[in-house]
Amino acid sequence: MTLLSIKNLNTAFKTRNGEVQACRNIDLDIEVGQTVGIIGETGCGKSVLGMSILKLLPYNARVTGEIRYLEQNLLTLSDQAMREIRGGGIGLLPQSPSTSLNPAMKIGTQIEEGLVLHRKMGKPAAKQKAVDMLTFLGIKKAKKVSEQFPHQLSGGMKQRALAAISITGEPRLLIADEPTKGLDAIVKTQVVELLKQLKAETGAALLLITHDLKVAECLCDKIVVMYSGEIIEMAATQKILKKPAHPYTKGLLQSLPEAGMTPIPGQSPSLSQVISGCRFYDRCEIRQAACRYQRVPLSVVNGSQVRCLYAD
Amino acid sequence: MYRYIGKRLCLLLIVILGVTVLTFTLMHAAPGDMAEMIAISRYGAENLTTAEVEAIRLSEGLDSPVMVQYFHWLTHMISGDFGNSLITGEPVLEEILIRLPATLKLSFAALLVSLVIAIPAGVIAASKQHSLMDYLTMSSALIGTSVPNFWLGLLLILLFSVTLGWFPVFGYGGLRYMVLPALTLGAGLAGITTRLTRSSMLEVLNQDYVTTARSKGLSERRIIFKHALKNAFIPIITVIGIQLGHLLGGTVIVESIFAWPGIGKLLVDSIYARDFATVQACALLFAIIFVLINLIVDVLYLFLNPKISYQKE
Amino acid sequence: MIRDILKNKMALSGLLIITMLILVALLAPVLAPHDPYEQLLEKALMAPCWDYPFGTDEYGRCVLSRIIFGTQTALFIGLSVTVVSAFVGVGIGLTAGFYGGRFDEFLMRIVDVFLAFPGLILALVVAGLLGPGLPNVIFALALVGWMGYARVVRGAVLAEKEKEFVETARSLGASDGYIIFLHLLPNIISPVIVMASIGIGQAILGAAALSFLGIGVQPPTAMWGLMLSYGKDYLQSAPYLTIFPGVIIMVTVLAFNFLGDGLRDVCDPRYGKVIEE
Repeated sequence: MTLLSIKNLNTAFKTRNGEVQACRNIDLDIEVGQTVGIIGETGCGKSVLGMSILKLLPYNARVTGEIRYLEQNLLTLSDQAMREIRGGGIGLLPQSPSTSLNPAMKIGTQIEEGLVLHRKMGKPAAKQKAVDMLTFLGIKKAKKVSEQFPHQLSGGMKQRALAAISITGEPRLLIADEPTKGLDAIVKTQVVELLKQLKAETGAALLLITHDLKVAECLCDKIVVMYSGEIIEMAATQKILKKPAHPYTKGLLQSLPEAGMTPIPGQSPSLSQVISGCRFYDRCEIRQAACRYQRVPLSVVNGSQVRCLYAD
Repeated sequence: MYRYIGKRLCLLLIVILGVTVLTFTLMHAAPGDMAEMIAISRYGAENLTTAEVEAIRLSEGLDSPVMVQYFHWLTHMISGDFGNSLITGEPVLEEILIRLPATLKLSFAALLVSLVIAIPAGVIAASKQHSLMDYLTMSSALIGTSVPNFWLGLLLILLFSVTLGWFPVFGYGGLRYMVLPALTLGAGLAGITTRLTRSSMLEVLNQDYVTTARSKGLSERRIIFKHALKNAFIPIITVIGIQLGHLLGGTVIVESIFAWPGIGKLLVDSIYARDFATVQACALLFAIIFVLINLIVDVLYLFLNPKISYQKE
Repeated sequence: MIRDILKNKMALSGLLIITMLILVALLAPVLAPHDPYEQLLEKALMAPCWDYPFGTDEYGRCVLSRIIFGTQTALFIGLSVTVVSAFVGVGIGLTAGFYGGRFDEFLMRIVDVFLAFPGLILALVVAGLLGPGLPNVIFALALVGWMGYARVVRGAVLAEKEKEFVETARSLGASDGYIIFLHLLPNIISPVIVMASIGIGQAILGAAALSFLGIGVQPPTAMWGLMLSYGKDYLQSAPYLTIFPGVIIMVTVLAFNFLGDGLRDVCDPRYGKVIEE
């Protein structure tokens, strides 16, 4: 059963220097309980995609298309109804643990809020539940921690607290925005374990936004590769890792340490740039004259969806 | 944290010492012979003799070197002797202490007025950024900061006292006397504080933790009151401290307009009368109050911000 | 840069009003319908009419003409106070920031001492002690206006000093003065311009406040604050004596605030940033 279905999503920001289009014609389905990884370099629009789903974008953003969660189109939902989806239907594990907790509020209180709101718990019950959740997520002395302020916690503990917050409303979809960004290998493994634990506990589907292929490989059923605001390849995890079809995906895999860390030459085009043909054209090794001006649709190649005219 | 407060106190003493030097220098740089002025104040200008002037010069120590005079003045002041008024001959400090409550009352009422207007206005403007409401609030705030308070005071008198007759034109007494002066003095401060509250709120509303709060599905109301406001208050309080200085400066004008018997009016009257002893004492007092308020605000800031107090301990 | 300023609505409207004020000041003898100093006692305290659009004061002088000529006084005070205080403040900030150490510490304590006084109080005391006169007012207002520049410039210099290019310049044998003027000044110019713009308005406001209290500039000079000061005695019978000079003070101060705010928005890179990932 499809939990979330995104159709022709476009997200653009109005800025002084013109329009910046961060998501272009995104089509994506997430099944109940499925884990989908969105891979791409910084600035490819993957975080904006996550925030578009939750409708948590700045005022200058304009979102068009359709985001269907179960029966409802989130883009036409009222603010009131959208608030019930946030936390209750779709939870967020935010990007940077160090800045994502309110510095002036106790950890416990920050967790209780969601419990009171979505599970209609009373204050004392919520308090106890918050402590239990922290304990479950591997925090020792959870009772004490719940009385502390964020600056008294280590980075790992903050992430666990945020993880607890993200599942307080028992969401059916969890969006994890770059949960391993800037972490060293050991902590990274812990975060992967934490995400597995969250999934096991809630049975929720997971949309994992990351630039780390290894992390995606450990967790995801399906991988979506984004480049310059577009989905350029989408397939089952093993399929994409073993037989990548798009030259950019191939390049990504070759830039991994074990493949010799060969970087892709050049830089991705600015999101505000209007390009009629393939957005990867300038950096592509197999480009042809047609790639430059012809709009490239997503098409099925060997069971993967690929946005390339010459993919094999 | 106590070390920090101690350090601040040391700095405070240095600054206050500097303030005394500056005040003393100003008085001595002023044109006119101090001994002669004191003599005039005692004996009148008509039958003044040179001998009388010279006698005062000797008795007041005005013939000794400037440095000696300064230390003489400073030691007297530390022991609570601010000298006598050149006009009434009464101790200056007594006059000031009688008038201090009036000025403090006016200042606090004005502060209250400004906060009651500014905090809600700033919060509403920030939470409805780019709306018509936001533009209207911000335009009025900017006008509020640009209206000369001496003019605003007159307009308020014209409207509420002369035309409507709701409040007395001037004078000192119950609450009815306080309304117009407090409004006049508070309006400018309200403008500044509104702008500050808004920008501070906007800054907080752009923080990651507000996104976290939103992702929980909390209402905008709860986000603003429970999550944003407390964090936004910290910078607001700091600037209010600084603004209190302008408030004190404004008392000079407002007290003059409304014949409010405070220190501000005393200062202006003493300047007219060239009563140097009183001018000196008033200026010094204004500076000391201002510096003390800033210290209190800084310490308050420490207590409000759990992060800083934790690191300092 | 200039295009950005012209695109900014606040800066533009401020600039327009200021341009108009400058024109009024320059063309005052042409624009004023009457001699601002001519006393016609038989025409005293006339309400606004066709001949005297803003009425006449207690000496029968044309209020509109006095406001027009007052523009000259106001702009002169605003500009000279700001030039003096910016010059002193920038100089002190540059030396303090550049030489650092004890010297910096000493200068900053002096700044603290001046900041310890509520601005208007210090100006009032200084102007009051020095006695009446335009130069005294300018001196008093400049004395309370320089500290902001010193602090901002010092901070900017301290930040810039750490950057590589100063080291490079020094290793090439450049003198201190050369380094200060060639490398640091361009980097601090924009905050100073923003402060100066707001400073002009504040100086005009301060001068008006002083003359309202009867300290500083003396009659019969055409000056807005003075007009208010005398007009207030006729608040009931001739409110126009109070209203018109106040409006022009407010508009002028507002214009400089607009310009300053607009300039800050243009100069501050944080404003209107592109929100991306």
